[in-house]
Amino acid sequence: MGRELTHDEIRELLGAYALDAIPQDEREATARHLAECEECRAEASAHREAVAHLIAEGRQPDTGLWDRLSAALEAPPPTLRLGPVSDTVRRGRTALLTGAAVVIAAAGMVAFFTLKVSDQNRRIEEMANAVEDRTILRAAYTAMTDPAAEQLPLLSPDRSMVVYLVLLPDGHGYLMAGKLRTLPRGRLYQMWALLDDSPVSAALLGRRPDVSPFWVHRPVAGFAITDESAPGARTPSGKPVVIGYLPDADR
Amino acid sequence: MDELRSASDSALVVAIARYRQEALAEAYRRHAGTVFSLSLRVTGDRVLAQDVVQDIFLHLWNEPERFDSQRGSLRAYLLAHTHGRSVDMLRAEVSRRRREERHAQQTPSFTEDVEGQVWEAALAGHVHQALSALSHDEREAIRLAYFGGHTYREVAALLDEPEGTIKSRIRSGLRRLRDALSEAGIGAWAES
Repeated sequence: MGRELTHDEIRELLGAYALDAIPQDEREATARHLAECEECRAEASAHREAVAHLIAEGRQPDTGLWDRLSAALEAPPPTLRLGPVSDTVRRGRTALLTGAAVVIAAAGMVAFFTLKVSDQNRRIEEMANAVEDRTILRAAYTAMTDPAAEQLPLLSPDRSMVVYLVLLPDGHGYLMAGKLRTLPRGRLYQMWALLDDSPVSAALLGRRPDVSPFWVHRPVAGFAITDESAPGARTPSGKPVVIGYLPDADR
Repeated sequence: MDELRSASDSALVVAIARYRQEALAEAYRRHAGTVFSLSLRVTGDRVLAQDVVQDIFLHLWNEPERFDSQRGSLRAYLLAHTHGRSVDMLRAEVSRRRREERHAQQTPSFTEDVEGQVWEAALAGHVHQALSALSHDEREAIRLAYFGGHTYREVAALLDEPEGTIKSRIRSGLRRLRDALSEAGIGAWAES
């Protein structure tokens, strides 16, 4: 690895960088700088946008190329089916899961919504990959056995339905919402963190939610899930499908 | 499928992240020609260019999260990767030998003047006027670097100019190009 370049040296390289016209060592140094410098990152992006217009679209690849490409695509991960979940007892509380089968939806049905809209695409892919390799399941089970975690039932207004979530001290948590009925196309479940009774979106759960990770900035008073129009809402549009409040002094 | 035809590029990438193959097909329909044109121009080899097209769209399928709509258009993202991949291939030993064989078979020899004419013909029509805002030196530096696959150091050697001069010409040329395109109402800047 060569010497680090100064900000001014990097700026001089940005045009060549956008054209892939710099040596490897300088390319790496520039990439490191761009990861931290918004000004240079913006200039490099602007150069690339300009360069993108230098290409005429008159040439086309062979018509069979798409067929070869589509044949090489990986299929969506299969639906995972697990055996019954055994009861767990922690800190004197009663078990939350009672023999219900936990089904993990295909990665394409898992959505993760954060307060930073610009992270949404990356989060969706992180979620899809996590489901594919069962990381979410493992993490959820680990969280449930963490003595520092809080477990909260979310109940429907008539108390006929209950889903559970587990919340860790750092704000990460997992929602087990497999009992929620599948919504029609164009609708989705959205989870809200209740902060001083003001709801803030915590996760988009899709039409057929199951085990969903989320993160909230604590303290939080409780959680609610509503039925919304896709792609989600800024504020809840109706009454919660299920809701629950933390009993401790998180409020 | 109709929804995808009218969807934005960003929405397509989100759909690709959800394993919707038809979304990738739509992205391919929109951008494969441009990707192929650039790769063909850089590599000079149709087979290699098609390999690059396949690599680029497989990359989009496997790692859609790497595209950040906040940082630029999908077209610019795909073409940046296309150019990088194509230049890598161009600099590989096999590609260099093929190019040398091809050049040796041409009569007369492939002069810079002819290469310049080919470049002009490859440009999108609306870009010609924007490029007229650049100086000859700026256009030449950009052409050699982008379409010739040369580093700025190699361009400096080819033009017998200091490396700092070439870096400055490329940077100032791209700035002028961006400003000219923006004035002409072309590109993402025209929408802001």
